[in-house]
Amino acid sequence: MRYIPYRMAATLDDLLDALAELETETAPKSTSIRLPEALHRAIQIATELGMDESFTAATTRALKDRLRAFARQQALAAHFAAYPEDVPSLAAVAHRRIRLTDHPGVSKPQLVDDVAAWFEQRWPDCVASGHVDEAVEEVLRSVELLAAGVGRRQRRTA
Amino acid sequence: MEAVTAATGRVVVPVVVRVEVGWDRTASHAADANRIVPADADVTLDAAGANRASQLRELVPRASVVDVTVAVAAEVVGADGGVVEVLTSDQRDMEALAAHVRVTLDVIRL
Repeated sequence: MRYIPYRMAATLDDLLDALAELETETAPKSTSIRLPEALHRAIQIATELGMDESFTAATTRALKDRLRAFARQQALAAHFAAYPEDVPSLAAVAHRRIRLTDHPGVSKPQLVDDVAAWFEQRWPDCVASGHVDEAVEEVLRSVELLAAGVGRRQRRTA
Repeated sequence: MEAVTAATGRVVVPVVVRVEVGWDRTASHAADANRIVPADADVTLDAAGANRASQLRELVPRASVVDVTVAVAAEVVGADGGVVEVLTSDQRDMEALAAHVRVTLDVIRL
């Protein structure tokens, strides 16, 4: 008879517990990862150019950043699913993110509102799904372009 | 939630703040808060931080130990530039501290 070990499905709390140990855990675990050759080469080159101090540091940091972003997205989505009344508007989040900065959206709040509303129409659950960071980046990038006049025809006078 | 959702960089919680508000991460009712602001957000005050906190308290005597600890944490988090949003019920004292810290603080009253 084959024994198949039963493994509990991973939970968000498991991930968060593991991430909490990242800063205190110092013992490395040897692991073998098959990377596409081009990616391996790119990491080596970037490390030589100063991105990180070593190949291992570069891959570790990249993974940490991605894991934290994923955990954040999952945590927000779980909270908003349980408490939909807590979901902020995309505009509110965008405004808050640029407060006291020199982003052009600070002096053009209506533009931020309009662009955020446009995005929310097309991606209604962008905040509730936890993908708020991507959505806000898109909004603020668009506001920056529009505030700079990109796409506006130059008026010529003779 | 809006603040946490809008936070683009590190979210930190000085552990003294958790003590003040009674946030025990091992308590079952803290599960949701623990997910939104996970354990790796906890920051402690080391010796250098305690020195800096004492300096700030000298400059703003009415600020509490919690307030200056928050200000020190904000200085660390905002060290590479950007705006640090501070959520506080003590807006007046935090704004007084904001004039002395080495980062740009956006003090939001809870």
